[in-house]
Formats: sequence, structure tokens, C-alpha cells
Amino acid sequence: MRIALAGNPNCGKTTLYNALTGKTESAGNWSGVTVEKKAAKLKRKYGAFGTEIIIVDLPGAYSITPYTAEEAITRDFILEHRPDVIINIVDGANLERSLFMTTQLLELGIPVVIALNKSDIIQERNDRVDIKRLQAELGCPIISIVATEAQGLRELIAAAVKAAGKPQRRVTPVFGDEAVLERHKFVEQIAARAIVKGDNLRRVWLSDSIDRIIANQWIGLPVFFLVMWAVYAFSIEGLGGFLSDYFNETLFGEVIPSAADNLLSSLEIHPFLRDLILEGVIAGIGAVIGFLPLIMVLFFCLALLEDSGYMARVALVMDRHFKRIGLSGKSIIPMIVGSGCAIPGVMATRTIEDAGERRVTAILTPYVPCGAKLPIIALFATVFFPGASWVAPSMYILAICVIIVGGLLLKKLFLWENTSVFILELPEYKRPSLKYASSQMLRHSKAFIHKAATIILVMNTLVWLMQEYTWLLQPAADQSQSMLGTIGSVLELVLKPLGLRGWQPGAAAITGFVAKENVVSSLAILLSEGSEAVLSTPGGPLAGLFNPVTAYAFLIFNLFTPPCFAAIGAMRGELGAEWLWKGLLFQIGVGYTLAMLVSQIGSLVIYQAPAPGLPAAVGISAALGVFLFIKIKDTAAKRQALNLAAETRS
Amino acid sequence: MSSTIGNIIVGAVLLAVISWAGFRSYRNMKHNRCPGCGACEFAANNECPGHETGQAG
Repeated sequence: MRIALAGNPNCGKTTLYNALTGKTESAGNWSGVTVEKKAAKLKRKYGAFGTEIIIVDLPGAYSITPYTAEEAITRDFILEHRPDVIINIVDGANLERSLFMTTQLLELGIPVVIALNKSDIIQERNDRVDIKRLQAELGCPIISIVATEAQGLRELIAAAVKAAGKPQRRVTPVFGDEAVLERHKFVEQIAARAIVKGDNLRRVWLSDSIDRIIANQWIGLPVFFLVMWAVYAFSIEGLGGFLSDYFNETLFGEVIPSAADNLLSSLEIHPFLRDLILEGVIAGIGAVIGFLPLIMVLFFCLALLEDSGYMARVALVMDRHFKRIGLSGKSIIPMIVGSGCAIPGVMATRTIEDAGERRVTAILTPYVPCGAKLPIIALFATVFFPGASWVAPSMYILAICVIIVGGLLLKKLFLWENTSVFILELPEYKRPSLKYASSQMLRHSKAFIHKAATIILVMNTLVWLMQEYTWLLQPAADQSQSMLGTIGSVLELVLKPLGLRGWQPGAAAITGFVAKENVVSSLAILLSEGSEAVLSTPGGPLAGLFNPVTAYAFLIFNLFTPPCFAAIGAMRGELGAEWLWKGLLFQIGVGYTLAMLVSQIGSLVIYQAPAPGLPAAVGISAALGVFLFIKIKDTAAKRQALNLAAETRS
Repeated sequence: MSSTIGNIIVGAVLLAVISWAGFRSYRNMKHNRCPGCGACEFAANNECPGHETGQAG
């Protein structure tokens, strides 16, 4: 038996899907998180009815007369695959709007069961939905649920199983696709009769008052920066940092390496294997896993903010600024999703209808620092800026600036017009669910550990072997003569205008393209020789390669050059080959130039002396300036010619 | 003798773990997923959106 979950965006479909199936699909407190249908078996505890039940989660739609690509997926699935039952999730807090689609679903003849979600919010408002009356008016069973708390799900599935196979009773008039106004009027009347209004004036006043500050066009942005600063200060310098220090210095700095060393020595293991395990695997993975507590605290805090309804307000604030630079308001959703992982972020750009806006968003989304980049930020913040809580938030502020300036630049460099309409829904404020925040935290932690145990482990082994052996597979007398050393030496020349010294930064940065955490683990492996100090110790091995300014520039280089290969693959899927290359060149150009400017100008201002490679930096900046000037002029001429041609035609 | 057996066992375990990790990473990357992130929202049961739409893998 197949049960489809259908409803408006942000009505709680994915939350219900996760609760029913035990999956951990990405759910968010804003619309447009689900862009594809997903299917999974119903959890055994809900499905003791002798039949296998498959739950299909469909993208959110306001109507089954499709306007967006996601709405088309929903409509096509319902009409072509005809599920046995449709569970229509109705947002109890927005009953009137939700019922528009309900009346359309009831016309299809497929049994419909309504899940009246967010009944906790209705209660908090002092409102009440007259379920019996609504059932009679719509002619289908209605079950009140709270998807986030898994309340009412057993009853919901029981009702769906009971309804399956029976034709949908029709009590509502048939309107057809054209009679939109009549349908709206009908829905309005039903909703008005079903909602028993309570006294919630104080609540509305409070919500409006908060919105006036945090969703304000001008105050909203500084408030957002302040909130993010507090979150990162707590995550990196507070609880997360405290726990990470223990992980880095004690657990992976002393306890595990000495235990492993003792065990391997007692087994009389060959020095090659011993060094590979201790200096390659444990040192590399330990350097990354050491930041796990920090990541857990950070994602817990972000999930609390999102569930409270705050992040949707941030999207609203950013939407206004994005529109000014010609980007769609819809661009903000991929970017928020991208703060977890760039891959789903880039994939979420497919909800943007206009091709130009979609391309620009896919190119700009990887600039948002994802979870994989956090260990790099945390490492450099801890070593070079101990006690300073501004480093991580500064990366996010820089990311926003790069996105805005990058958007303007892309608009000038390539022809594209148009800004599509975006309706952003503001969910009501609510007390954030600790259960939801914990599940989000565990999901990210699981992914982080999984990544450390797979790709980072493989890369650590490779990095260790490549820094121990020459191209002739002979043990390298000096690290700089090793395979990685020679590759790093070539990159050293490329990175010289950034003020970077030594071959190790280049070698570490190149491993970061496989997975960004590798930058940290590679540095741990490359610098472990000749230094007993833990990588994250202030004044430790990293201090021999960087000063605070070049460290900050290296951080920028790693964060603002192209993302990992998997994210580049996702970009290829959304952009196609030609635009992928344009996007990658743009990202390399932006990341490199920004790091170069910060390093050179920062060194001049702070140390009153330029960083190494100043002449080359000046030459590159001049060449880039000339290229941009010519390209922008060329594009402007093309745009003018196109406008002229359009005027002549009309 | 015990050192030889120890070396063989430790070497074999290490090789098996690294091979498994390499295989998982390759498979995930092939399907356009996060390279090692088998636990991400797209990995379970081949639900990667890129894969479903034929844009990956």
C-alpha cells in the first residue's frame, strides 16, 4: 500500500515523513526544503496491519495546478501513480490557505485523510478547530496531530488504512481548475465556520512587536549578526570549544596516541605500520574528530533558532537585500541549506525558475561556510586568535558580503535579467523543540563521524604515504623531497602572492578539495614530524608557517575558493559543463583575490611591512582589474545591442 | 614469530579498513553525494536527489 503525504510548503510533511519512517530527511522551518519526492517503509510500530506500507513524501504545493517545478512533481505523482491514500497535511495554524489544495485533492477520487498538524500552535493561540464540523463539510476523516512530537500518528495511519480502497465520498462542489476565485470563497467560508477563535490579541501583538525588530529591513541584519556572534562564541569559545579542547589536547593528544603506541609496541609492530597508524590515521582523524563537540553544539543552537521561526525572519531580511542585487528571494533557501552542506544547498537551487538566477545562486551558494569548513575555522581561530570570538562570525559576514558583491559582479559579467516572484512564508514563533534540535545535532554528528571514517581516513593514509616517500617510492630523507613536498612546492609559487610560506599550506589546501576537513588533518600529519605539540595549540607547529594575518588569509582562501569535488559534482548537475567552468573560475578568482588582498593590505596595516610576494600580488591585481573592465564593458555593449534589437522588433 | 603474526594481523585489518573506506567514498562520490557522508540525508536507500533525477551516478 502506498500512502502519499501532500500539503502546502512548510506544513510539516517531511517532519511527519521522518516520524513515520524513522528517516532523517532534511526538514526545515521554512518552505521549499523538499524538492524531490522521497519514499520509505512505514515504521513497524505504526503499521501492524499485515500489509507493507510505503510512505511517499512529496514536495510542498499550494495547489495541484502547478506553478513551480516542485508543484509539478507533486501533481504528476498523484495523477500518474495514484497512491492508495493521500494524507493531506493541513497546517492548523493556516487553515484557510491549506484547505485550497485539500478541495482539489478531494476532487480526484483518491481517498483523502486529513492530518491536522500543528494543533499545539492552535492551542497556544487559544483557538480551536471544530474537527467534527470540518469532517462533515469535507467528507473525509480528520486526525489531529503534532508531527514534531509524533502525537496522533497511530490514529492517522489507522484512519489511512481504513480509508484505502474506498472511493472518496464527494460532499464539496466540483470547481475545476479555472474557478480559482469560487474555490477560494468556498474555502474561506468553510475555514470561518471551522475555526472557533479565542482571545489571542496579546500573542499577535507580541509576535508583531518582535517582528518589527528582527524582521526589520535595517535593524534585522545587525540583529542577525549579533545572534550569530553569540551562537559562534558559545560554540567555539564556550561549551563547544571547552569540550573540543579536551578532545584535541587530552583524548586525541595524549590518551589515544599513547594507548595505541603502547599496544603497537607490545605487539612489536613494524615501524612503517606503527608510524602510519600513529602519525597518519590517528593524528589525522583525531585532528578532525577533535572538533566534533564544537560542531554538535553549533548545530544544536542553529536548529533551536530555526525551529523557533527566527531563521525564516532572517530569510525575509536577506530577501530584501538580495532583490536589490537582482537575485531571487528564493536564493536564500539554498544558502541557508548550504550552511549545513553545500551539496543539498546547490541542489535546492532547482526551485528557482529563472535560469540566470538559478546559475548565479548555484555559483554563490558554496560561499556559505558549510559544516566541513568549521574545523578549519575553529583550528585557525584557536591557534592564532585565542579568546577572540569574532573570527567565525567574521567568516559568515564576509560570506554575505562576497555573495552580495559576487551577485552584482556576475550580473555585470554575464547577461541576465529578470527577478522572479517569491512568496516567503513566515512561520509563527514557537518554543523550539529540544527533541528536534537534538535530532538535527545527531544527524550532523553522524555525518561528520562517517566522513572522518571514510574519505578522511583514506586521504590521511595517502597524505602520510606521499609525505614519507619520493616519486621513486624511496623513503624521503627530507619531507620537501617527498611526493607531496614536490606538489606543494609548485603550489607554493602560486600561493606566494597570498603571503604564504612553505609547501605545506598548498599541499593541505589541495587535499581540501576532496573534503574540506582534510585541510586540518593534512596539516596535522605534515606538521606532526619534529613537533610534539598538538596542532591546535596556540604558538604550536602552525605558528612556524603563518602569522595571524596570513593565517586569516589562508582561512579565506580555503573557504572562498571552490568547494569539495562532491559539491562541484552537484554544481555540474545544476549548471551544466559550460557554466560550471565559468562558476569555478569565478570562485577561484574571488577566493584567491580576497585572500591576497587581506594578506597584503593586512600585513601593511598591522606589521607596517608587506607580506612576501607583494610585486606578484600587485601584478595579478592589475591584470584582474583590466580583465574585469574589458569584460564588463563588452557585456554592457552586448546588453545594449540586445535592448536595441528588442526595441526595433516592438 | 609473534611479531610477524602481529604485523600481518594489524596490516590486514588496516588494509581492510582503508579499502572499505575507499570503496564507500568512491561509491558516494560516484552518486554525487558527499564523499564520505553516507549518513547524510541523501545517502540512505539511494535517495540522492541528483541520482533520482538522473543528474548523478
